[in-house]
Amino acid sequence: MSKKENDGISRRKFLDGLLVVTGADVVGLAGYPVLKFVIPPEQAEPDNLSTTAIETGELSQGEFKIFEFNRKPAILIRTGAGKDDAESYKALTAVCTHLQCTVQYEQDTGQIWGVPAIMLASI
Amino acid sequence: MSDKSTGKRMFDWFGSRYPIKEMMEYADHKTVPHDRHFLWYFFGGMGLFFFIVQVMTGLFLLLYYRPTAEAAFESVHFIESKAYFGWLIRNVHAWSANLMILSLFVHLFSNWFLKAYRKPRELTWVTGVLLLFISMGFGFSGYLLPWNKLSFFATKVGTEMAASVPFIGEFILVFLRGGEDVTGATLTRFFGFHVAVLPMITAVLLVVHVYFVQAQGMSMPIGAKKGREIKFFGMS
Repeated sequence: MSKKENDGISRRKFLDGLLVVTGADVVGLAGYPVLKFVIPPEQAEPDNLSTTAIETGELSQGEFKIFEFNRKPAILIRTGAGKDDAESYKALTAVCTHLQCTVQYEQDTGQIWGVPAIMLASI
Repeated sequence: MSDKSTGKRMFDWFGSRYPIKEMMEYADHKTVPHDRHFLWYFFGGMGLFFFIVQVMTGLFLLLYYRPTAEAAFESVHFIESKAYFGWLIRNVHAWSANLMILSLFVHLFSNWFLKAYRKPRELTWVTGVLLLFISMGFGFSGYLLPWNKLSFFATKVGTEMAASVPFIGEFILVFLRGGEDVTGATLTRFFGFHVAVLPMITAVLLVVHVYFVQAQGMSMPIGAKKGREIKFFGMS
């Protein structure tokens, strides 16, 4: 121990502090890249929000198709029997508002159901 | 509230159930020789350190890597260019792999030339050599995973070499490739070897290997007198 004990901070205290600071630096330097890495980067929005879901005449009345739109499922239902124009189709997001399952169209009842609900109903 | 600190109370809780004190006492008394050969005693531990780095960086790479013929190359590209610090994690994995093999070879040759394999440490040597073979298996299987031209042809040539083993060569080739050719089936197999089969075998052998070293202490070279010993943990 040095003679000057009244300097306010001992050598041991100083070295202890240095050890803590260095340790924190090492943990931070290794931890920051790891934390950044485990969070996936944001995907850029697609710049063109239009897609070709079906070919003309692919669906007849009451049929539906699930397609991908802006990285989420969407549903296209042919509601009308008329000519193949916009009036005889309905396009909706297929993400259920309950717990985000992908919904389906039931031709008999003309209703949209969540898939688990359909499975439960058929038991 | 008692006047004991939380740390002390936790220590007591575990200590009254498990032999924590005895284990710490044992660790405190563990010594290693500090003679002119001491440099060679480092390389096994360095190999272990690099192995731990491999396990950790490997687990992180698993978050984004996709082991299918369609997606593998793209996912590696994603890690390199899109994921934050993905280039760092992947490069640490690749460099640490090379340095691990280097450490293990230095470890092997130093134990060979100092004749550390002699009685009673024969099985330490055998398990160590097995661990080296497995490490090279890690290298060979991991090399295919980026699924680029280089890794594809390296695997083609490497498995072709295995096929020249007498009698069972053809079997080894088909077993490794999962068919006659290097395809997506090979990639799936190598991925399974790399992240599941080899790590499990390594874990078992490593525990046995380190236990042997622990139980028998460090080997002294022939003719060397028992010199100074230092504590393994801590100063003094």
